Amino acid sequence: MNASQAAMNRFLASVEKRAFAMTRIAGSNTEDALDIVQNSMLQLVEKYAHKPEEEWAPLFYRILKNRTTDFYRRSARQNRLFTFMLSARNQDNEVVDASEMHAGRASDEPENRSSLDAASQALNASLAQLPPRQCQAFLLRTWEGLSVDDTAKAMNCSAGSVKTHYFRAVHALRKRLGAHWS
Amino acid sequence: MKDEHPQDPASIDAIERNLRRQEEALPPEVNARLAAARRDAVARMAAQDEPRRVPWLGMSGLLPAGGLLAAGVAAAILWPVAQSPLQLPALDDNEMAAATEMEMLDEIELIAWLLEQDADVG
Repeated sequence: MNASQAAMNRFLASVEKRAFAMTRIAGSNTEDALDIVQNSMLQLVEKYAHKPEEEWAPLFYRILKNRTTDFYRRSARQNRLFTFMLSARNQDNEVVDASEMHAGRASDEPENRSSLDAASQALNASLAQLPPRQCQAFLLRTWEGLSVDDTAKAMNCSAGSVKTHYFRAVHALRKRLGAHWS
Repeated sequence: MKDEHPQDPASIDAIERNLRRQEEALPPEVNARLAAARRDAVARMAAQDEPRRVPWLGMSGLLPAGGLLAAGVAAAILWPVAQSPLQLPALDDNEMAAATEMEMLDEIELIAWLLEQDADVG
């Protein structure tokens, strides 16, 4: 392993857990989140490994965001098709709620419910309820520790937009979490 | 924008601590799969860094020379075959006699049939 490969290995090791957890919070189940993170790693390596090391974090999170968006678009299309094919009827020919037929969200998985304490569950639920851009700005700034400029690069928007999204996210979280955690 | 009240769980610090705790509490199997994905990505990077051309074909001129050589060998093999007439195995006396007999039998049957046709018409 040469120096640049070792640097890439260190970088990916430093972000992989957060990237996975962020993808889970965004609503993916474990398998989908692992696939999304793996695809993002490969794309970073294939397309941007030659870029300066300090650019890897915003690039990686931009790829992660795009992969996550692609995943949801694909899932939405499949769910629409699935719902159409079943015509909202189960095997007994009874009308059922379409939402019951779709794959569960991350927070619905039994192992997720049992491994997280109530505070973490409340936090993740509140984060998941934020608009995606607000959630992303908040997690990248607070959890990943990216600067405003790097967050803007990762989100492909202006620094001003990042500040706005972040402020609104903090405001919404204070409002929602205060009741749970006070 | 940071909230300094440690008891206020909605503070940014408290949220950050909680998220880091979640990060550290990932199941071992998830950590193992993330590490495997990272190793795959780094291996891909190593493969990209390697020179792509095949070393023994890398010298300019060697590939055309190899092509010419292959064409020459093919021509040397196919040329005599193309020039010689098709050689069939010769028949021995018994085989020849049998073949002649078969032809005669065919002719006899033909003649008998023709005679039958004439008789019917007559």
